[in-house]
Parts: sequence; structure tokens; C-alpha cells
Amino acid sequence: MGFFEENISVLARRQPELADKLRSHYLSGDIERSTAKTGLPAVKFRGVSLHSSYDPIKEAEKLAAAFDFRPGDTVILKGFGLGYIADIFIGKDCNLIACEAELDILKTAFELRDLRKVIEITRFFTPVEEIGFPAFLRSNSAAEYAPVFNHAPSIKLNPEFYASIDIKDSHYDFQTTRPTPENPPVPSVGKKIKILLVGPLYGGSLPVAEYCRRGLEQIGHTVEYFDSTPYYPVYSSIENTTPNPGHQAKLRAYYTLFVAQAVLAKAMEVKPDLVFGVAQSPFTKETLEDFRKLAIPTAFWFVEDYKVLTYWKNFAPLYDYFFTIQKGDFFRQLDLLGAKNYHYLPLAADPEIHKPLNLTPQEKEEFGSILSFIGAGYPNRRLFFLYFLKDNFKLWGTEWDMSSPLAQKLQRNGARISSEECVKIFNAASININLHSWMESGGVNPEGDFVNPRTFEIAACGAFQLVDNRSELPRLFEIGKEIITFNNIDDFQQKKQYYLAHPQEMSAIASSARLRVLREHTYKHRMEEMLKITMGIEPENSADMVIVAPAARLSDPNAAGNLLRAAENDPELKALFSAFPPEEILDVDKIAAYIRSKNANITNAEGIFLLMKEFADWGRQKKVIK
Amino acid sequence: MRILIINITRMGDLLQTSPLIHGLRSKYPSAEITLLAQEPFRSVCVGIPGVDRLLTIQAEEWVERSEDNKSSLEDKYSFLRKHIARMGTDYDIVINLSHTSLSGALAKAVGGKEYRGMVSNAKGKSVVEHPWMSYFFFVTSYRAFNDINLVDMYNRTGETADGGKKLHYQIPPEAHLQANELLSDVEGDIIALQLGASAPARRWPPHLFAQTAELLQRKFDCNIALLGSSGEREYMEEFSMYYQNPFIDLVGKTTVPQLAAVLSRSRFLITNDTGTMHLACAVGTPVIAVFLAEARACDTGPYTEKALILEPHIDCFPCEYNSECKRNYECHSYISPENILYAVENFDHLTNGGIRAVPLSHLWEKSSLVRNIFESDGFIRAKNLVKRKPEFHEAVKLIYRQMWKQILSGKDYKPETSSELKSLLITGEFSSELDLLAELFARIRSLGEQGLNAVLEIIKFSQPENYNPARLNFHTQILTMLDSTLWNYEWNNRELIPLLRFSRQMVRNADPVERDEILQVSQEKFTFLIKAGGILLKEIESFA
Repeated sequence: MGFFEENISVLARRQPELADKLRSHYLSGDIERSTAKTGLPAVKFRGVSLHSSYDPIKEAEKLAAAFDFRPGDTVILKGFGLGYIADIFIGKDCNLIACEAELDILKTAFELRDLRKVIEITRFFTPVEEIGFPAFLRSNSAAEYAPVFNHAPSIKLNPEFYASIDIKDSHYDFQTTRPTPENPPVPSVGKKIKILLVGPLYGGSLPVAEYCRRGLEQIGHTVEYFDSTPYYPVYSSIENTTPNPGHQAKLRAYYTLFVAQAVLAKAMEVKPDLVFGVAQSPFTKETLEDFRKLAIPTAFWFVEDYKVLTYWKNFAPLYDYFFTIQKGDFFRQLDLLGAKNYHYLPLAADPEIHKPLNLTPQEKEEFGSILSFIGAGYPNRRLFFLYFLKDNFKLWGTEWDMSSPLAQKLQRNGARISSEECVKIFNAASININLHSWMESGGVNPEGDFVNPRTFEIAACGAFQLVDNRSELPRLFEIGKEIITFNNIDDFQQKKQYYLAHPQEMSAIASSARLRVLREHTYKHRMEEMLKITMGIEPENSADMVIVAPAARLSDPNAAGNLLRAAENDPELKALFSAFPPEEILDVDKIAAYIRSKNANITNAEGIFLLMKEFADWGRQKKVIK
Repeated sequence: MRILIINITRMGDLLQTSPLIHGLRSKYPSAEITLLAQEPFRSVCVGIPGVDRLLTIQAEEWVERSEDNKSSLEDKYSFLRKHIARMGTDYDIVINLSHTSLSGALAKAVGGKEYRGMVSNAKGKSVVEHPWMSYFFFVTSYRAFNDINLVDMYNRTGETADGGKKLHYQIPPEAHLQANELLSDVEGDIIALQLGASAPARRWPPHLFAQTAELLQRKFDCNIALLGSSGEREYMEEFSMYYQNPFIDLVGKTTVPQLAAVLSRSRFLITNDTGTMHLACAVGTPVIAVFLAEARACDTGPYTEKALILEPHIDCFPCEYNSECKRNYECHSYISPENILYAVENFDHLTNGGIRAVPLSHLWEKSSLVRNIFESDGFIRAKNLVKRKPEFHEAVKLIYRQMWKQILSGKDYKPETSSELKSLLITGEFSSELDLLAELFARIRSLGEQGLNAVLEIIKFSQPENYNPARLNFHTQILTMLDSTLWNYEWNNRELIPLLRFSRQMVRNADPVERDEILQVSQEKFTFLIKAGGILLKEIESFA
């Protein structure tokens, strides 16, 4: 027993996590110690003798004699046992990868034998390892076809574990180590990779997946598309199978697991560098763990309102990268879940689809109106649009109440409108109303944050829109120049009147909006951003863009970096200032806007800044009055 | 117990806070009561009894610091942090009676275990805590049917009915001496006039004040004294063009304590709705006040029975806040110097009930005369004395008054039946209007019941053991429909606005985000509609 601390101190230098695990591991009753005839320690595990009960050393030498290896080799031991086999390789200029399925056995070996010399040349692969065996091998720079020594009693005890690390039969042959948030990718410029894009089972994110595919291909990556839609009919038929909601939920879970397994099979076939899905793409806890073992990074773009669809709570932390269209409180909730993998990635437009069109007179007749809206009949819209009953207003889309007076404005009896027709409608309308959905009937959601796809799509068409105010919007478009917002119905009516009377301004704004989209808000841009974060791939054309912060900025005491340094002893202030790029010059308005946009519990320090903002506003008002 | 009261408004509002402080003092004799006000009003605050600690802010300096471009953010931050720290912590109750988001941010920055009034919530958004403060904020947006004095709202926010039935201000002894010096040549009664007011629309014209002074001087052979701040001298100059006799000019010559002392020596104060008026109430001087534009006796009238208020009888009175007058202040001439003379002559009988009503003569054709009465439950009530055919609107106000008192005060409040309402309903012959109103209230109550039921069903069917998406969907649709139905009722029935708009304010104020929060506040909203609708209905039925 005297050997454990000595052995473990050597291991702690090489594999500290495993050393901790072994220290805290409790031996089960499965292990039974004995002594061989020669006086050396021996053990039985679940009744199986791991070594000769006569002379374990001699046994090991005999076995090794039949084993072909050369000095300099890294040898894989399938089954460590008490380490008698491993002893053979000491002083032979070899390294060992020792696989051991049972921590019971490994801990016993550490207790009973002096293994310090063995441990010096060995990396242990055990079930506690988070990454799969191929990745483990690569991280230890082992050769792909290393000689493997099979320790029969060990394999007999745990055939599955040892089969799973059978290199020769492995399907997986990956070029890169797996990047994770903890192990960030090495930046590279213009690298091309293979991406498995997993389409959603259903819903509004289907076109988004399609746009992502095109964006990735435009950059030059290889996209393998997993089309989930053929699986949808079964999924949707579950509802009719049983009225019992509990059973329905169970069946859906089983079926989703099935589809997710199909994704896994596809991944094994195409061997992607990255698996990427959008909201409603079929992933399950189990398959995400499998991808982790396979060392394939996973990324997921949750293009939904987190307040409306809440399934992210179960999955967000399981992805390597989780992209959101909202920040603020969503990030805080993700923090609470322990997710560290989230990134903000707003929606976008696809200029191949969303573009200015020359419509025929018939099309103008069919799709055109002064006011137009395409979308579903959410409560806030149902009420807001009642103001347009006297207008030349066409309403398109689903889920509208046919008994409402709005029904007279509804086109095609509320049928679904295809993407192509949407583009025609955007093009044909004088003013596209863009009122973000809200479950309350209050018109404009005062707390609205993210920007919907429609905003980018209308802009990309070079069409004019009036969009309700969203807290993220000013970061994406310049309000007043590229886009016009409204806060309530009076505001809308007033702006409607104004712009209808000033068509030249309308078209100037619409073209500026289109240029902004082409410059910054296409799905290609979004995919570049996504790959930069996940794989460290910088877009080719951005490599020569060098951004240098002017010296003046860095010397300004209100530059976020300088404020951060000054706030060294105040954790609340540090957290606040570190949210800004170091070269950004801050003022009270910027800070207050940021604090409010977070929509999270405010700290004392933030409270002081909000107070400062109130006083500053008060002062400005007084000046105006004077 | 440590209580912080924030009132960063002006003199009048600070004095209107004094009954609340009086009530808190008698409710919590050993509490430490801190008042936070603006530095320029320090002299008002020190005269308010019951304050243990006075904190002031130099708003101008803070503003300057906050928007100054020279000092760094770090300096600005340290400056504010230091001052906030000076205000102390560990308050058990923070009562913010100011109505700006600035005061809410201030309340939050100082911090307390319990808040009443406006405060920044955990996300930095301004919300209002406590039912009576919610009502106070509601009334600032819609007060057509309000009949509750601001001071009573303040008192109930402190959950105390014992405001001493007056405003409180202690005149320091030296102020009396100084006032004696200022008035050393004066013999006989003084009638004081306060010509200024916070806005032109609320300022009864100086030439009418001059005519009034003329009448009073002739009739009573009294001294006329003009009060006010140095900024109000221009009105005095205009006054002196119309008033040829000598008068005592104290405009801009008194401190607040001296002003109080002068008032205490005056026989009457004739005034617009001003801080001086509230000070007179506090020192017991009889007040005759002219209320114009947005100012109404029933909202912010003098909190004393020793007062008479004149209001114009015009269909646009009171003005909406922040609206511009399209009728060239026509109402200013609706109050005549003769009206005031009548009030002065008959003051005692009018205020003690000796004269119960004033017949509608030529004199009162265009104006109303209002007296104050404390009811047995401690609320003050502004009662019109001029005998006119009652308007239904008056009855609705009284019905709502009873309802708010019950619903906002909670269990400890017992309503009394109002004989005034009864007589009003009989003389007004409102039976058909009343029937319709009862129908509307019944309708709202029943919609409330439907809403509450839907919320409870949603909660039930969301439980894992009862989970039923179809039912959830159905009841969610019901809620959506109810919202628009209620909205329609609100748009089409003026009399329902207090009820429905207040219920919407409840939701807005709760700022719900999570589904559970939305359900909870909806439950509260519908419960309110059921309860309030029920009380209103009972009120009406008791007179039917």
C-alpha cells in the first residue's frame, strides 16, 4: 500500500485530472487481492484472474516475446492490469498508451506496485476521459497505426470498452484536433472545410438553413446537407397516434433520437470538420455526446425568440457553440445554465433571393398596395392592423382570425406565401409594415430586442419599410438614414403620411438599407462569423484589413480599456467595462443603453450609472427649456 | 426601523408630505425618519416636524457633474458613489413621492428592503410599488374621475390614516421676530395676496387681484400685503398699476420661515395654487384659493377645512396636463373679484357648514365655490357649494372614490355609505345612466371572471400531470380575445377608463417577461377587475 502516493505524484504531473479521479475513487467489492506463488501481488476482478497466479513477471515476458515492436514506437496497451506487461517497455525507448476500463484495477495497481518508471512513459486512457480515443491519440501525437498489445483477461472483462478503441476498424480519420471554447481554434485565413449542415425538421427555420447552405458554399466550403424534411411526416403523425400528451411527448423524443442517430450515421459517412444546425434541427443529448466522443465540433444557431421557444434550456450547454439572435437576459440565463459557449449572431438576408425585381403590370396589380404586411396573426398585429382598415392595405400570411374585420384585407384566405412571392410583395408595396410578433395585444413590444429576418429581407429588396423599434436595431442599421422605426400607432401614422408625401426620401432610405445589407448583413457574412468563432477561419478578404485604433483613442481616459484598468479593484465596474471593445470611447449614454439592453439584474455600479444618466438627461432638458 | 422619504420636488409637495411624516411618527414612535429633498428647499424641510435626519441633494451640481464633458467617467462615478454612500443604507422602507424616473433611480441607488412609489427595478426600468402610489401615478395620466386629495394618497402610502388632519410646519421663534420687524408699521388686519403661480395658465391676472384688493380694502379697511419670491415682482408691478392705495410689499423679501410667520399674522391669504397656499394651511391661516387650468381642488387643493376654493365653471376645466390653451385663458375671467369678496365675507359660515349651499345666482354663473370636509375615515373631500343641476360625471366620481378607498387600502378600511351621492343621484334623475353604468360594471366583472378562469386553466393544463396543449392553446386565445374586448370597452366608455386603464397599468408596471410572471400578473389583473367591478356594482345597487 505504500506505493500509491509515490505513483500518484508522478501521474499528477502528467495527467492531473486522472490523478484526482484516482485519489477520490472508492474501490468496489469487485476486486479481490491475492499473492502469486513467487510472492508478487496478483488480483482477481469479478472472478477473472488478471495475471498468472504463479509468476506474473514470467508470464509478461513470454507474452511480450511474441509481440512485434521497435524502439521509438508508441505502443497501445489494451488492458493495463497491474502493469506487469507495461514493465517490459521500460528502458526500451518506447512510449505507452495504456487503456484501462476499470478504475478499480488501476487504483489497485497504483497501491500494490511501484509503477513510477512505467508512469513516466505512459499515458492512461480511461472511461473518465472526456474526448474519444482518436482525439486522445492525436493529442498525444501517437501514430495512426501504433502496435497494439491485447491483454486478454482485461478485454474479456470489458469487451465493449476495448472494442470502441479498436483503431484498425475505426471509421474516423480526422485531420484536426477538435476545437472547443476551452481549446480555441488556431486562426487560419481562407481555409476550406467540410461542414455537415443539418436542416430542421419543420418550421420557419427551414429557409434559414437553405440560406446558410448557400452562404457557406459562396465562401467555398463543402457543405453536406442533411435534409430532415423527409422525416417530418412521421413526426407530425405522432399527434394522431395517441391523444395522450405524455405518450406523444415520449414518442416524439424516441423519434427525434432516431432522426438524430441518422444524422450521426451521416456524419460517420461524410466525416465533417463541423456539424452545424439551426433551430429545430434534430439533435439530442445522446447524439451530442456522441459527436463529442467523435471529436466533431457542433454548432447550433438558435434563430428563435428564447422567451417563446424554451427547449434551448435542455440543450444549449451541450453544443460546443451556441449562437443566438438575442443577448441581454438570454445570456444571463445561459450563464445560469452554466453554458459558456454562446455567441450573438443576428439574422440576415440572402441577396440571391431578396433582391429588387422588375414586376410586370399584372404582378404589380396582384401583389401591390400602399401598405403591406406578410406574416402570422400574432395578438399585437391583430390589434395594430385594425387601424389600417380604411387604408389601401394588403395582409398576407397565416393564422389570421377570419371573423375579424381584418379578414377583408387578408389575401388568399390566409394561405402560406412562398419565399419567391414574399419578395414580389416586398417589392410591390409602397410601405412594408414590419411589426415584430408579440404575444400581447399592445402593438409595439416595448421590450423587443432581436431583429427579425423580414427586416433584412425587405432591406435587401431595396424596398421601404417602417419597422417597430427594437433594442438591437441601432447596431445593425442607422436609424433615420437606413431604416425608419416607429414606437406606436400615432408614430406610425405620422411617418406613413410623411413618407408617402416624400417618395424620394423613401427610395433613398431603401437603397441605403440595401447597401448596408450587402455590406454587412448577408448569410455569407454570418457564416464567415460563425466559422471564425468555431474553426478560427478568417475570411480571405479580411486578412488585409488591418484595424488600428488611433493613438488618440487609446489615450482617452474614457476608452473602455482605460476605464477597465482604472476599475481594477471594483469587480462590478470591471464586469461592466469589459463588455466594450477596449478602444471604444464610452459616455454615460452608451453605458446606460448597454445596461438597459442587457435586460438583466443591475448591479450597484450599474445603478450609479443609470442615476448619472438620469441627471444628465435632466440637465439637457433644462437647457432645452432655457 | 429606518424610513427614508424621498421628495425631490418643490415647496408645496414637501409640505403636502408633512401629514405622512406625522402619521409615520405616531405609527412608529421610535423609527428614524429621514427626508431626502433638494437643497434649495432646506428651509421648508427643517420646519416639518417629525424628521430625524434631513438629506439634501444639490441637483444642479449633480447634473453638471453628470453631463460635464471634461471630467472622466471614473470621476463622475466616484462623485455619485460617494454621495449615495453618504445617504446611508439599511433603510427598511424607502418611500419615493416624486414622480420622475430620476427619483426612481435615486431610490434604487440608495436602496431599501421595501420600496413604495417609483423605483428602478432589477433591470433598470422604472416601476411603481404600493397600491396607493400606483393610483397616484394612474391619476397623473387620467384624473377626470379622481376625487381623492394627493395628501390622502401620500398618507395611505405610509399606511397611516393619522395625518393630523392638516399640513404641518413649525415656525422658528426668530422668524416671528423678523416678521414683526417687517410689519412693524402695520396696524390692524392683514389680508395677504400671492400673485404668482407655477405657470401662466394657473395665474389669476394681477388686475383682478388689484380689483379684489380694492373691494376688500374698502369693505374691511384692512392692510393688503403682497407675498412671493423675487422672481414674481413683475406681477406686483402690474398689480400696482391697477391698485392705487398703499400696500405692504413683501415680494422677494422673506425667507420661507419669515413668510410662514407673516402668514400666521394674516387674517386671510388669497392665492393661486402655490407653495405659499400650502404654507398658509400649515400655519392655520384661512385660505381663499383660485384654481385654474390643470389645478383642481379635489386633486391638490388646500388640505384644511379652513379654506374655500374658486374654480371656473367651464367645459374644458380642468385642462389636460401639458396641453396648450386654445381659448386664450378665457376661464381666468370666470372668477370675479366679487366671488372672492363673497367668500371672505361669509368664510366662517361657508366653512363650518352654517351655509350648506350657495344658490345659483348671477354671481356664480361662471364659477364654483368649493369647501373641504374631513370625513370620518380621515379622507378630506372637496365639496361644491353652488347649487347646480348635478352632472352624472359627479356621481361617477363619488362611486369611484368609494371603490378606490376600499380596494387600495385593503382589509383595514370600512366604507361608509355616502348620503351626498344619494342626494346627487336623486336630484340628478340619473336612473337610466345609472342602469347603463351598472350593466357595464357587471360586464367588466364577468369578463374578469372569464379571464381569471382562463388563467387558472392555463396554469392547470401546464402542469406535467395535466399537460394538454389543445386546452392551453384554447385558453390562451381566450385571453387574447379578452384583452381586445377590454380595450374596446375602454375606448368606447369614458366611465370605464379608470377601471380598465388602471388594470393595464398593473400589467405594465409588473413588467412580466417569463411565462409564469405573465400568468401571475394576469391573475392579479383579472382579480382586480372582479373585485373592483363588484364593489362599483354594489355601490350602484345600494342606491337603486
